[in-house]
Amino acid sequence: MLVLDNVHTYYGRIHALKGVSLSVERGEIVALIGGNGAGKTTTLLTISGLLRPKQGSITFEGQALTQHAPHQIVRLGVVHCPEGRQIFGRLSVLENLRLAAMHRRDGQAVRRDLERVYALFPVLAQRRNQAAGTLSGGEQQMLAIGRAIMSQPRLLLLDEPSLGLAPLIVESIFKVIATLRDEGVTILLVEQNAYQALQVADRAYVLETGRVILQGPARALAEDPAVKAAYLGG
Amino acid sequence: MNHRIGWLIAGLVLALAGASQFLLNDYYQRVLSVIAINIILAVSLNLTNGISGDFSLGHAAFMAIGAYTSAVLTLPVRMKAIVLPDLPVWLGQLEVPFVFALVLGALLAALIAALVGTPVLRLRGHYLSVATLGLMVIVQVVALNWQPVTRGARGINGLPPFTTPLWAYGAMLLTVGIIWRVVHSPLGRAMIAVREDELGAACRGVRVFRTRLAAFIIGAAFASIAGGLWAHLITAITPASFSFLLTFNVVAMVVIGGMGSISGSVAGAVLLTLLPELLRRVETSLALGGQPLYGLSQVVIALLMLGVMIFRPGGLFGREELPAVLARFQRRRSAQRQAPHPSPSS
Amino acid sequence: MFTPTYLAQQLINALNLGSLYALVAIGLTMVYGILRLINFAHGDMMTLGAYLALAGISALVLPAWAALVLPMLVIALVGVLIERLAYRPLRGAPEVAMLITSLAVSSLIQNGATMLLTAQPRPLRVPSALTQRIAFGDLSIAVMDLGIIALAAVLMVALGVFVKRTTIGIAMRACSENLRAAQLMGVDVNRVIVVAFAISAGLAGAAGVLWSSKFGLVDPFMGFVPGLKAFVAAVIGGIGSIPGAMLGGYLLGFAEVFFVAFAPPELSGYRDAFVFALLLIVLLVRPAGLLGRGEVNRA
Ligand SMILES: Nc1ncnc2c1ncn2[C@@H]1O[C@H](COP(=O)(O)OP(=O)(O)OP(=O)(O)O)[C@@H](O)[C@H]1O
Ligand SMILES: [Mg+2]
Repeated sequence: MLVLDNVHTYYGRIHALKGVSLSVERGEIVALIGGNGAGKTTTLLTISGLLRPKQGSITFEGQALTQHAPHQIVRLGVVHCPEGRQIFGRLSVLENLRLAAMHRRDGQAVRRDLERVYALFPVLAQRRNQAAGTLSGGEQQMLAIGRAIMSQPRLLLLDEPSLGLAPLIVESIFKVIATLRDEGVTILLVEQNAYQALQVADRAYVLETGRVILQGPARALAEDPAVKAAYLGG
Repeated sequence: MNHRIGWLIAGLVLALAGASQFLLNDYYQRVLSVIAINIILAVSLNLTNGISGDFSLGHAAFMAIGAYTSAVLTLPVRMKAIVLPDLPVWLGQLEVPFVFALVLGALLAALIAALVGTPVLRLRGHYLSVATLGLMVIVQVVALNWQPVTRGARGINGLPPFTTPLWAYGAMLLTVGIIWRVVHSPLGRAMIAVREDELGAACRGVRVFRTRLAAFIIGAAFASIAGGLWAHLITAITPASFSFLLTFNVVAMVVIGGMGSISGSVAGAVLLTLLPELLRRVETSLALGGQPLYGLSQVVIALLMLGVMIFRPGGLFGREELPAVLARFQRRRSAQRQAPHPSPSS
Repeated sequence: MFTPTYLAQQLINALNLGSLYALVAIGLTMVYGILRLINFAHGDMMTLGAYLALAGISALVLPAWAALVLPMLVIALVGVLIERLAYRPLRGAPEVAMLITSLAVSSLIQNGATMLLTAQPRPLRVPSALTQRIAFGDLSIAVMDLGIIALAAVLMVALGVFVKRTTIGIAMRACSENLRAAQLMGVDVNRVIVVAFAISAGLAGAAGVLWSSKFGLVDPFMGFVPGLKAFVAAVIGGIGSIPGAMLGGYLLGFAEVFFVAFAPPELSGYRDAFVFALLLIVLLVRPAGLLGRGEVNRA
C-alpha cells in the first residue's frame, strides 16, 4: 500500500533521513520506533508532503506522493495525525472536526463519521462548542484522532499519540487504534512507548539517526535483546 | 580586505573627488556627490536590514533630522534673522561649523533611534518596519507644523552650499570604513549571529536586544549625516523632501546590491543613482500623449526590485563582499578554461 | 463650546473615520494572520478603488451603488492577481522577502498611477443626494456619513458571518493559527490565501471609494497614510485578530477625531504624529494588542 524507497530528507544542511526504506501493507499496523531525534517525525512529514525528500521515492497505491501537495495527499487517503496534537485551540471542537472533513463532498458519510467520532469519544460530543484550547491534554489527543478520522483515512499516520498522557488514557487510545484497524484502516504508528506499540503492531521498524537498523514482526522485535535493551528498558 | 589596499583605494577616491572639483561642471559634481551620499545611506541601512536582520524603513526620517539640524545650526546669523525670525533666541544667535552640525545631527538621530528602537526591537517580527515608517510620518508632521524652526511647508532654502565632492567622499569613506570595522568586530559578529539564529545567539550569551539596537542606532546616525550633506548640496529642504520615496530608493539599493554585503550596498547605490539620471532624459523626452512620463524611473526601480526578489533574492553580491565575489568569478572562469575541449581528431 | 451637538457631531466623525480604518485594517490583519506579511501595498488598494470609482462616476456615469460594487470586485481580483504574480513565487522564502516585495508593489502602483494619470489630485463628485444633510434637532448629518457608517457595518457583519460559519472561513482561522497543521487536515492553503487576498483587497477597495467620496479627492498617494494608520489600528486590536482589527479601527478613529476636537487648536496639525506616537506606546505597553494572542513574545 505504502512504499518508501531510499528516502533522503534534509533540514537545510542537516541530513535527517539517510535512505529510509519501508513498506506498509493494507490492513496492517506498522510501528516505527526509535529514540529522540531518530527521524520518526521527519519520516511522517515526508510522507504527508510537508517535507520534500531530496532523493528517493514514496508511493501510495502506485501513486508517487512526492508529486502531490499536502492537501492532495490527504485526499488520497493518507492522513497524518501530527506530533504534539496541534489542534486549533481557538476553533471549537466541532469546527476542528468539520475542518478535517472540509474536502469531502459526501455529506451523509461525513455526518456518519461525526457520529462515529462522538461514539468513540463521548466527551467530544459534550464539548462540541467549546474552544478546543480549553480541553485537557487527553481530550485534545482524542480530538486529534477524531479529526484524523473525519478526513476519512485509508492510511493513518499517527505520531506519538500517547505522549504525555496518563496510563488510563493511553490504554483507551490504544484501544481506539485497534478498533480503527478492525474497521479497515491501515496504520503507521510512531511511538516512544515501544512496549505498547509492539503489542498492538503487526510489524515494526527501528530507526536510528535517520536509518532503519532493524525490522521484522512486532513480536520478534519485542523479544530481540538489542531492542529490549535500548527501547524496552531491559 | 587587505588594509594597505583599503588605504590606497581611499586615497585614490579622495584625490579623484578633489580633482573633480576642478575638472567637472556643476551638474556632474552634483551627481558625484549624490552618489557618495547614497552610498552612505545604503551602507548604513544595510547594517540593520542586511547585517542584524531587522528591516528598518526609517532612513528618510533620520535624514530629515540630520538635514534640519544642520540647516538650522549652520545658517548664518544674519540670514536667520530674515528666514527664521521666530527661532528661540539662543538658536537664532548660534552659528555652528558644518562638521559639528553634522555630528550633532547624528547624535540627535541616534537618540531618537534609541527612543523608537527600545520598545520595538524587543518584539519579534517586522514591527520595526511599521514603527520606522510611523517615525517618518511623525518627523514630516513635525517639520510641517513647527513653524519657528522649520518654516513649515515652505521649508528652508538658501543654505550654505558646503557639500562638495571632497566633503561627500570624505564622509562616505569614513562611513564605509567605520561600518566595515563594526561588521568585522565582535559586535558585528553578534549582529550576524542574531540574524542567523536569534535563540542560538542568546544561548551563546549574545545580548540580542542590545545588539539589534546598536545596529539600528549606528545606522540612524549615519543616515542623519547623509541628510546633512544632502541639505547643503541641494541648499533647500522641505518636509516633502523626506518622503517614503526616499526610503524606498535606499531600500532598493540595499536589496539590489545584496542584503548583508557592504560592497553590494555601494554597488547598489551607484547603480540606482545613475539609473534615474539616465531615465530622467527618457521621462521628459519620451512623452506619452504629450505628457512627460514622470514616475517612469521609479516604476523601473520597483520592477527591478520585484525581479530581484523572484529571480535573484540575494541581489548582486548576495552576502559576500567584492573580493570574494571576484575570486569566485575568477575560479569559475579558470575552471571553464581548463575544461577539456573536444578536439576534432578524437 | 463642547455642547451636546458638538459632541454628537464629533461622534459621527469618529464613527466615520473608524469605519474606514476598520475596513482597511481587517484586510491587513487577515493576510498577516496567515502569511505573517505586513502588506505595505494594502493602502494602495484604496487608491485603485478610488480611481475606479472616479472613472465609474465621471466617465461611465454609473449609479452610486455600482460605482461602489464594481471597484470592490475589480480590486478583489487585483488583490488575487498580485498574490499570484508577486507573493506566491516567494512562498517558503524568508518572511522579509514578501515584505520587500510588498514595498515594491506599493511603489509600482503609486508611481505607475503617477506616470499614467499624473500626480494631480482629481475631484470626485458624488451624486448630490449623498451630500444632502439630514437635521436631527441641532445636529445635521450628511447622508453619506450615515451611509458610510451603515455600509461598513454591513460589510463587517457579513464578513463576520463568513468567517464564523463557512468552511472556508473556518479554514481561514485554522490557517492563521497553524498553517502546517491546516495543511495536514487537507486544507488547500493556496485557496485560502487567494480568498484572503480577495476579501482583503475588496474591502480596502470599498474603503477607498468611500474615503474619496467623503474627502472629494483622488491622487496616487492617497492610500499610503491611511494604509499605515490601519496597521496601527490592527496592532491596537491585536494583529491577526479580525475582531481586533475592527475594534482597533474604531478606537483609532475615536482617538484621532477627539484629539483634533479637544486638543488646543495649534496642535491639531499634529494629528498624524499623534496616531503614530500611539503606535509606539501600544508596542511598548501592550504589544499583543487588546484582543491579540501574545505571540509577539519579547526577544
Ligand atoms: N525543523 C528542523 N530543523 C532542523 N533540524 C530538525 C528540524 N526538525 C527536526 N530536526 C532534526 O532532524 C532529526 C530528526 O528529527 P525528528 O523530529 O524526525 O526526530 P523524532 O524521531 O521524531 O524524535 P522524537 O522522538 O524526539 O520526536 C533530529 O536530529 C532533529 O534535530
Ligand atoms: Mg518526533
